Amino acid sequence: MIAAIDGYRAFKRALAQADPNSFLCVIDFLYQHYALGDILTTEIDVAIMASEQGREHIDLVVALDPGRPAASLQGFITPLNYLMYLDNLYPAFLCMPKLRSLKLIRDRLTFSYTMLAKAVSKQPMWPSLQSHLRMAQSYPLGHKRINAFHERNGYVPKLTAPIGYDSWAKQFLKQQMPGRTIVVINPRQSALASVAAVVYRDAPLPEWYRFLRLVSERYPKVMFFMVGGFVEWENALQRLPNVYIPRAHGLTLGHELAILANADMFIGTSSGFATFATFSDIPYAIVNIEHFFANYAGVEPGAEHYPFGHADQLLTWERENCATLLDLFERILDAAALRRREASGEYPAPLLDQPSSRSKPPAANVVTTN
Amino acid sequence: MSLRQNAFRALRRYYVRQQSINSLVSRIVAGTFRWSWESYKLARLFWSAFVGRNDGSWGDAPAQRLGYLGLRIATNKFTAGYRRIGMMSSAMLKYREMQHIDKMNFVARLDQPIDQTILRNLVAWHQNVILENPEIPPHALFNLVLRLTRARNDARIGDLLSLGYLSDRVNNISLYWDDAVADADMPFTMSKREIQKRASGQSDFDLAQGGSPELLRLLELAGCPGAFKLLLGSRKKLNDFLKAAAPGCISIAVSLHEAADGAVAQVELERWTAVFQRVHAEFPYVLFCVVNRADLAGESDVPPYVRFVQDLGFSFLEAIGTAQYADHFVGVLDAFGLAALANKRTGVYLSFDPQIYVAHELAFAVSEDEDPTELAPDVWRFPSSPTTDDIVDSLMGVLRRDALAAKSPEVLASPHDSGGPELKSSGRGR
Repeated sequence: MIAAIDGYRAFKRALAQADPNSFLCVIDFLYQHYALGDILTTEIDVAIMASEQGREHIDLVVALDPGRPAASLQGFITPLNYLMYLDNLYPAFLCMPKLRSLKLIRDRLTFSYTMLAKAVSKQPMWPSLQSHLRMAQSYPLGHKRINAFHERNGYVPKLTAPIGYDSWAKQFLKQQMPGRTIVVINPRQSALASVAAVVYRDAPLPEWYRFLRLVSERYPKVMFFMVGGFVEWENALQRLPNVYIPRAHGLTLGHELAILANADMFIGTSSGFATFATFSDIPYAIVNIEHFFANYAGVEPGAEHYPFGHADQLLTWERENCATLLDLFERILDAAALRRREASGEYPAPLLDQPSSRSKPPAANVVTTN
Repeated sequence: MSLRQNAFRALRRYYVRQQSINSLVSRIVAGTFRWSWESYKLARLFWSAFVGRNDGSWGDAPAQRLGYLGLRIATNKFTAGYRRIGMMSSAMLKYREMQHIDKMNFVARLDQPIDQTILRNLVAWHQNVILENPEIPPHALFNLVLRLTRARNDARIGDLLSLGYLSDRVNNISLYWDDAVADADMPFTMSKREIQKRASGQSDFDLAQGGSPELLRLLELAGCPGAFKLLLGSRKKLNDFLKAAAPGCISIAVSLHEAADGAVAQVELERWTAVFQRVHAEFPYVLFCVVNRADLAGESDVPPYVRFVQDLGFSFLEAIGTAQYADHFVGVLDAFGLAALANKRTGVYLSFDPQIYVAHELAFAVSEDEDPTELAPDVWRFPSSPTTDDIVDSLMGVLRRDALAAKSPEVLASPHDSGGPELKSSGRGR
């Protein structure tokens, strides 16, 4: 009897060895989604919770069961292909602010032991143990906590470039794109993805191509970086001289996020990359946000900024066209140039050769390739 | 309905009811007996666990069996109550495992930037774990603890992680950038015995060193199959690409020495382009798939029958898959070369490190009049810097045997014949 009681006490002592001074974030793919935007939003939520509880560091545990690697809503992710989805997504984990350690756990025994130990040690965690046991996770993820934190403190934590990639991105842009204005774009094309979904939200590519060509003529120093999956852009994009496609040069999500973190601005459809821009300081224009998301974001449909957004961080709620893209681009261009000059202390040559920077786009009967 | 039909139906209902009553009774009796017996066994198990009785090893202890029982109850049930039972049982089992087990968690440390050598050394670590611990059963999984003190500024951390979880044997990966944090977390990443061994001076595996020369030599000779899972997605990706880019071609995965930035060194590429040109002259339907990254700065001017797969949307894992699934392999025995060797790709393998290779080893050469169905793997090995002629001659030999094995006259056809695949030029092999 004493052995049993001693055994139980030793078990409890072993569980109490976790460090209560850091914050634990658990991403369990049994009920959470393999989605870039959701993971990035979760990271900001966790950073806020850690900040509110006075924790300087965050430990991230990513758990998945190889026998059941995804939630029921993502049934296309199976034990035979989950590694590819995980591999495509893991750089997002490295964007967590204040990240101290990262564990990828594929063994339920280890995961349970870790979770229980953290709970017994009273280490603050997200989700809570009760929420985790109930697998209580609703989508889409809203900004309620983020907006409340911003209202109390006047700022929100920012996502960082993935650990390890920031120096690379700075060096890459300095060597390969000296003096260029870097604009990261992500026009959604789910129709080209391996699992097409909600294709009515896809960006109108002919309008984007017109926009890119116009900018090429009027702002020759601008270089667009097309980010996103290799299958999610059309072949015609490679013919545009002012578009660089990182995935066509062997670069990955980590490199793209790092470039985005160091870019001058972002323009794109509401997506995972847009989420990264949302929780950064770079100027952005996120287009064609769905009206139903306004409630989750804590704004009215048609609002031009998120509550925590800056003046040069714009939102639109309608389908974009060349004119709106050009207008958005020019509105935030000046802010981007100013920010770059302030950051570098340099005064690069003007972006324009024409005297006026606010020109109207040509008529819609301009011939395009599409 | 006739009287006879009604009577038949009534009789059938009576019979079925009688059967179900009989079976119900027998089910109740059997169930009661079984329930009593199971309850007795469960009570005895609880009692044995409570008093600490155990006649066998720790794995057979009553507490262990209780844990497995809890896991069994909770399996495939997702309500909070069952998940709570599953969590408690799992935690108890893991705790007991951590008290008794040894050689399940292994530490690898790195204090310098990640490059091609380090990635190869991760495979060497894998081999080291298996060879140094032969008592680990063949399919047992182990865990990797990575202590990277320099990787906060290293963009190849992604490749290192990808290689880690590609392994068939690695289960969990823990990544730390700070030794103090890793030490504090040791009760959860290492067992009691492993912590004691570490405290008594056992050193971590240094990824910069890669292990002893004997280990590396054995790695290059025998490969490390457990280090590379075969991913179906990679196979599909390569297959789809080959069918679209060069239908019917013979694909050869190529891995070359990389420069410090992770791209193929320009000098290396120029040397190998000469090899590709000579092989192409005799075998125009060969497609060389270079698995390394191309130089971001320069315009690598390669012929159209040479493709950099990572420029074509292949991720690092898919590039590994290219090495695993291509028809042949030629290049250095880095992580890609070892992956190809693990999946028994025929081809030409160059030693990665000049210090490792001891003797010029040839598998064998089969003459043309031998039965192609009796062909054994054709693996040609060379020191790290052989002459171009050696590489070309051995690769030609591999391809001639491929043609014989395929018994396909089209493969030997002249490039001027119609119907063959046309490899169009599009710049950087794209």
